Amino acid sequence: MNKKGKCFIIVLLMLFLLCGCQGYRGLDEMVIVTGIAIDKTPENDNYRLTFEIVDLTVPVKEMGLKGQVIESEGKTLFDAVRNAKKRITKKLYFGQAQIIIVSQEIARNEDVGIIIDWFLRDVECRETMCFIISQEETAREMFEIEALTHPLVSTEINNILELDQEVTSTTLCVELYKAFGGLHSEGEELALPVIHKAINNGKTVGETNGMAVFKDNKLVGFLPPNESKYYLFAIDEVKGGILTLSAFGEEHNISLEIFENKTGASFDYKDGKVKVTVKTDTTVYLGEVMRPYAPMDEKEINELEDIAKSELKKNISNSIKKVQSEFGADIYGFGNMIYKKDIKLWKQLAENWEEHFRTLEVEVESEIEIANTASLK
Amino acid sequence: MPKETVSLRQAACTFVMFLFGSSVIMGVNSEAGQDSWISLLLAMLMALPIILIYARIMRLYPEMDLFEIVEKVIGKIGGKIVTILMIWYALHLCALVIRDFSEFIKVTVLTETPQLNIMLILILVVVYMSKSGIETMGKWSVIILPVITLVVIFTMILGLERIDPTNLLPIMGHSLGTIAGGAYKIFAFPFAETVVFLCLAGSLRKKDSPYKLFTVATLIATVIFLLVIMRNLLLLGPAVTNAKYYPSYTAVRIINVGDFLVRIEGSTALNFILAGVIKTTVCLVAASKGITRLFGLCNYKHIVFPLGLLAVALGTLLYENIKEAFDFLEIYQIYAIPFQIIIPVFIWILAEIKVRQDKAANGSHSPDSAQTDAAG
Amino acid sequence: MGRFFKKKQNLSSNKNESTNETTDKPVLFDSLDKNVETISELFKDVDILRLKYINCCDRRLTCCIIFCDGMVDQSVINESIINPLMLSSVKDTDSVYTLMTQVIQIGGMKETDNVDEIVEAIAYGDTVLFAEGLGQAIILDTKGFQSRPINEPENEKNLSGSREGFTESLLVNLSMIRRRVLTSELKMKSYTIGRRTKTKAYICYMDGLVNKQILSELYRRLDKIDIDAVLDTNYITELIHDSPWSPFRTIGYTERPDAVVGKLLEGRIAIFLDGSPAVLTLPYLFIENFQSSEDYYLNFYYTSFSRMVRIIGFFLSVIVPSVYIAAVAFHHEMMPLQLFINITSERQTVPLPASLEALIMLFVFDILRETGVRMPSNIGQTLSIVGALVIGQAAVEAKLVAAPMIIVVALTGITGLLTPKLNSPIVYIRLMLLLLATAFGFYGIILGVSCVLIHIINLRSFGVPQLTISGKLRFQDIKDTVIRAPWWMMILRPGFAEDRVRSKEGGKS
Repeated sequence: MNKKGKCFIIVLLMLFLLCGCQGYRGLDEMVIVTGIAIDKTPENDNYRLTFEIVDLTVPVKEMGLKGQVIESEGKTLFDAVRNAKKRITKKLYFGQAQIIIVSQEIARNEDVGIIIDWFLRDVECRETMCFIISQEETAREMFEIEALTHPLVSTEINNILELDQEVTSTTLCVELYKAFGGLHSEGEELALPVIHKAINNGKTVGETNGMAVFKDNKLVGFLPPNESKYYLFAIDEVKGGILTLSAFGEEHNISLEIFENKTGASFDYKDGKVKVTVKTDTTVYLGEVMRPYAPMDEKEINELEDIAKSELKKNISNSIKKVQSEFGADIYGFGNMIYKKDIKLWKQLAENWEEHFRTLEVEVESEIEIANTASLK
Repeated sequence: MPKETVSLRQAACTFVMFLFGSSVIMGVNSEAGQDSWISLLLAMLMALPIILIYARIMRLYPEMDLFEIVEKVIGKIGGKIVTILMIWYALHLCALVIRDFSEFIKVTVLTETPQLNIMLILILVVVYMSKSGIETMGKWSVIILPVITLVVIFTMILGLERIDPTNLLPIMGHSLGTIAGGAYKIFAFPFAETVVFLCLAGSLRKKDSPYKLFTVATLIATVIFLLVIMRNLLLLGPAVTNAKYYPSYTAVRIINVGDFLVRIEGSTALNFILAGVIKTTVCLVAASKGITRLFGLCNYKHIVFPLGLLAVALGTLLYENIKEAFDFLEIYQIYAIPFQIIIPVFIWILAEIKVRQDKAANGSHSPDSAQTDAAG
Repeated sequence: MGRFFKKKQNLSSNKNESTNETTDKPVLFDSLDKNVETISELFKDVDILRLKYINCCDRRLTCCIIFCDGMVDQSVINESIINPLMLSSVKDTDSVYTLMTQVIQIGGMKETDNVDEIVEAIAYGDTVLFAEGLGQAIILDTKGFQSRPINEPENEKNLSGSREGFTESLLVNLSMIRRRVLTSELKMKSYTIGRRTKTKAYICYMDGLVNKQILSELYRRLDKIDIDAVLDTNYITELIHDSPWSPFRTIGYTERPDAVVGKLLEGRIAIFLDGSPAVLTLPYLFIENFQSSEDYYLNFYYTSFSRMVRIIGFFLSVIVPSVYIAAVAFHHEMMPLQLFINITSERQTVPLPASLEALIMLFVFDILRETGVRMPSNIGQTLSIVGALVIGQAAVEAKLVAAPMIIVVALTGITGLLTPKLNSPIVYIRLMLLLLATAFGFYGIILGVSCVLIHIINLRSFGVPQLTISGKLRFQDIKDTVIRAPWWMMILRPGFAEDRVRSKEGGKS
């Protein structure tokens, strides 16, 4: 073979041999992390991370999936991640991680944005991880629960959150990139989902518990599930759920199943005061009538619609008022709406937006239509 | 040296892929945030006159590449100087592209492989394509361009579920100055970089109109860019788009359709690599042609390999880290002005004058016979 | 290469012989004995040679017929040569013409005084007649050698349509073509290739359709062939094709007469070689690797689908192992969680890294395939059981190999069998992509595929680019490539045929 050919082959060989497949990371060299909980150690203000990993010491085919928990400590998040190697044989792999649980303590005392930084910066972590606040004392307690329907706690929590919007509409799954957007957008505060422990048949399980309210990127309070529902109404994130009404002389005896909801918000600026109008348009099914059976007639349905309308309007208004007075944090994004629609006005109001928010006049209008009554008349 | 010709379709596909090249990795983003798409459209408008000037130069001297035209128009000495300048520009651009690409690969995909290796295998493929000639490059582009377009459209459609149209508001939230600044950056990188195509102009047949080529291709590329920017903005929002180095990659990462079509960011990497290969090849061939003309060699294919290695070496020297890579864009828009604007306009004016002179000198003298002079 | 040097010596020694012959041309003297002696000398130690002296014409003329036993049709010799000669009473023996036309009752007759021609004729199964006083020899066509009966070619089976396949006998093959094209446009030019074997070859083409430049280029290249022996058409292929180092085919081959005729009618040229059932067709476009003649005999919906399956099969066969390795070793985020966990748990207990495993398993699969071709059929059953159970099942149970790897390799192997014409490139490209994936992951695969694409674009078959892409995605171009349009839509011939005869139906050339 001529010289050129020989040279070429030598170069190729060197290329492969010398670089040695450095990025090659076999599947047996990694520990799959599915969930991360972030706490702070009281003694020395270090971060304590708890990882839930997939336990591969037993073959998955025969014994099924199992999870295991690893703890590690470090001065920063990345430091803690690497310190975990002191206890395990392989490096952690974050490409399949699904949730991040942050303890209340960190959320109250520190800017939540600094926690997110490592997760967004690292190439392995996916931007679709759910960001959750734990209402227990620490975040790592959440990994001690019994998972009811999936062997891995993280997957269980993730699935609960994802479907919640459509089923109960009391909480929202906030992904990392949305959280980042929320932290950096004008006139909007972050609201994150909350989980806590609950007792189910003698076992401790995880349960979602409304939303957490942030102000200036720090946690200031919680919205319990019955109020966070109206929060979701106000920001147009309702995809399902139930509205209960009291009608026909009884308490809480009607269930309306939300099929579809559309919320629109608009604002009006007069004499230095901002007025926001929130309009909701909901289509529901009559799901349950808890009274001795009698077929519904047109009049009753209209009556129900009216009651539902006023109930919903009242509840949303009250919820917004409560957030205004108690937290003063614009989690509804009204400021953001002004910024997007009328930037000049926003520039005027931006400095004291909190004041404006607290004294904001909010008017709620609700439309409800009962589309059908399921299969009973 | 045998004449290589490409059809109009092949040239246009190469052109579009060249424009698509590294600018889609870098995200075509700027401080303009949610108004990046306005910057883009503005950039296209700014680019059209310059591009038409390039086309006009090609039209005045059909089937001649820039180095031949320059010698005809300015004379031997001036021609050689301009040739050297353009060779440097093409080579520098080649090194920039290689370096940008390997940065992308290193940061997102192969985090532990040394950057030199990544650059080397890229340059091997590029050299192979350059040695195969411009026709092969044209045919390759024709096959690959639909693939790239399909991927962009596909990801756009799949992402529709998650988009938030309010991410584009407030429209014109940024000052006109910021938007115009962003537009100029896009103009300099990539629209006006197409000046290197003038170095390959010898391959376009006389009967094909360079105007059509440049304008149609620019329009198509702008449409694709627009789709890409819109997709990024709508999916991610301006905050994330501005913070991440590679927003296209991130945007595709979050796409999740029915839990099944998920984790498809490999397709974006595919797009980048394929477009990058073409852009590097065009620059390398342009530089090679220049050097063959300068030193009187017989075939540019012989010098492609050494030039490729030189480009890689240059690439390793260019920046220290990736931040510098992105910051360089600020300087680049100024540094490129002589190559992108001054020299072509200069040549254009002189060319117009010369052609008119020739026409007036003897009534039958036309640019066609100018070609027979050059073919010698 | 050594052969070419050897051949030079042959040239000089051959020349001596022929000069001997030519100076001995008087050997084809009128003397029968001397002629016979010369031929016997040449055929010394060839014990199948037979001489038969015949006294004919009332004992006035002695003839001798020479033939090779086993290659001639004995009954023809007996009835048509010996019988009439013995019974004849022709007086004027000086006139060969008389002998030829009046006595001997054979159709194929030729007179010659070229000893080489005589040697060839005897070797091929003709009978040579010498007569006393005759300065020339008469070659009589009595070929009767056995050849394989016409049956379906093993590698190119059809579901429906003709089941004829070529055999090793040149004349039988040519007859199959000749029968199918009943116009005078079909030309068959003969050629002799190979110094020591003097193998006969025939070039067939349709006069009005073929591209004359390609034809003359073909003749030019054939004339330059300088080799001892051409035993199979592949020898010719490797000596005349455009890209000697490319694993891809640039000259097609087929064993089916209907395929050859179809290609001839598209303006291609066919090369037949005696002793080989494979017929070459050129120019050869890349898409022909995926075509099979039964595409035209079945419904066009079904065959369009089949063709797409073949093309996709080719891609899969080449890419699947490397994509698997890239996903498992570099791009773990490409897999959804459940799949990832399953594959990871399978791989925990396996000793080798994934890419080494892939290489070994692919090699094992190739061994199995090769064995399957060569083994005697009576142990076929045993071997498939051994292959499947031992290698597949037991290896997984013994945790030598991970189960997903077996699936990947099986998929690769099976899809590789979809396009037998691409066997050779598939093996090398697959290996190259696998190595690139091991070192560089997905990035390496993309660059590798780009390289292969550049290579295919560069390929030319006798000047015709193999991948004809003008850039216009006209329906015209894909009508017979990726899909197969119904016959009433296929009006034009492929681009490289003569332009004026582009219209297939009803057009006059």
